[in-house]
Amino acid sequence: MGASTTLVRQSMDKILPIVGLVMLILMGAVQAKESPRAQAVFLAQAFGKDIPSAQSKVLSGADRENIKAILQHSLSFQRVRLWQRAGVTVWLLEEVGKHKPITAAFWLENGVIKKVKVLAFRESRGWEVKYPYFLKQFRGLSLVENNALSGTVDGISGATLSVRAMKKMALIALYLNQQSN
Amino acid sequence: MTCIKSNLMLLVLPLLLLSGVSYAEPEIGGYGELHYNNVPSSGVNGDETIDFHRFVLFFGHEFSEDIHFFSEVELEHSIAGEGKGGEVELEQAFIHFRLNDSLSATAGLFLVPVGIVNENHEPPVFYGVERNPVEKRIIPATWWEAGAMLSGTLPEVGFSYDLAYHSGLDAGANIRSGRQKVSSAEVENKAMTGRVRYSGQPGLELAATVQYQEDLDQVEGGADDAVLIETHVVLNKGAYGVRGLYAAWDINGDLGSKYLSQQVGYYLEGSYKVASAWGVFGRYSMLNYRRTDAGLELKEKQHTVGVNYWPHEDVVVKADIQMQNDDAGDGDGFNLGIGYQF
Repeated sequence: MGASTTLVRQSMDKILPIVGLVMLILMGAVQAKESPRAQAVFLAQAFGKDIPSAQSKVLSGADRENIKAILQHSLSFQRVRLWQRAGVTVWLLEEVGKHKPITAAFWLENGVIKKVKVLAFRESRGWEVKYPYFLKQFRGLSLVENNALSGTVDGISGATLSVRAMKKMALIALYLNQQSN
Repeated sequence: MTCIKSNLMLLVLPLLLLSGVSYAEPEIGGYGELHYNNVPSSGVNGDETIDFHRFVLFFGHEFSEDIHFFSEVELEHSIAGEGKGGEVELEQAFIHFRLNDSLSATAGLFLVPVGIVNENHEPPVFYGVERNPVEKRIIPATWWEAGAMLSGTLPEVGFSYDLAYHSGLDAGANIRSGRQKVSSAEVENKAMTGRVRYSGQPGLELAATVQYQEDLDQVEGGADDAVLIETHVVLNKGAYGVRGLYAAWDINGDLGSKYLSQQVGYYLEGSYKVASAWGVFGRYSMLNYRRTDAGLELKEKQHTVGVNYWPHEDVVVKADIQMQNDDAGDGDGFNLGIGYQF
């Protein structure tokens, strides 16, 4: 404790005067946000240059009941957008994390998740769910009995609700894929 | 206070100019927990107490895509007022500015970035009816201050950091009682908090916080400057979970006892999800502190074992048994609780 706390104390005189200035400079450094091309890039990865037209699946009454059971709350949507060709499907889904919706695309091949991309993340915490070290956990997962994932997805400390939203969207994508085949 | 006000105006004004489209939808949420404690000497009214410990409502508003208001209002212990045991508290009220994908700023009244439960304390996300004693007495959660904070991420590698300049404690030897709760608070002497965090592996969090208090009791004499160091690990892999936390104060000045200048605590908790709706845990906590400014120094050791049951993912029923050493009041007993979040 002694040496480390002495170092902290000695550093304060130098740090404090510049903290406000640094914050102001950084606050002015507004940069470009996530590329709006993310969806197009993801679709090109799944289908190549010839991307099929977007479709809109209208949910049946049974679909709505099953999705409601997955979400554990009522649905806020009637249709789901998808792109589909020759056993490859990309589902575009949205679910609220803690306060705001997360938009994500799920690339499925033959009933298995091949890749997941978060297209819009609007929460102030839980940003980890956008990155490969989290998303790679979904690769290879499928739907098993009782609408459960076939493998474990470990969470992010402090982002329980965002992780939960991602898992629910993965289940919905797998469920809808199963129903459409 | 004048200094902090000036800083906030400097931070807020240029950012308000960046405001774009207004989104009017209000955000509402909350959490709460009812506790039954059967622990000798735990309550002023006897060994058995029942208490709606926390009733909390969140209100948020999105001014634009990049400017967001968030607040948390809490009623503690069910009833507040003169002679009553509870309090109505404003625990969060801040404006959050998203500067870009990896940088944000917070100005207002916010939770201090330290420990595990201070920022994440909704009942369904932790084990045990009561929060652990180390993060109650040493840290001391729930802990909020007023000021400004810059938060950034290096997302590709899972690192994040926070740097906050804010109001400080007004504490004697008892740290917890020094929270001014931003209620006409003394800010002649302020504080600065820095945290680094790694969360680049699913299920793993490693974090460390250093805080510098210019003068812990806000007056000359007694306690002078103070440094809090905290570090923790959270690891959840499949059904298994581990939490470990260490926190220590190094306080300069005259507290009447050399022992009190080095208040320290740590805990280690292991948990196992028996099924998706059931989990069991065990925790060992040790801390050296003083419960009141004029009281005796305590060396508290607490063992806790218990179970959480989630009938819904946002509702939890809890039960635990705690055993304490004599120094800490011989508080052997059990606790029951129910909590929720939405």
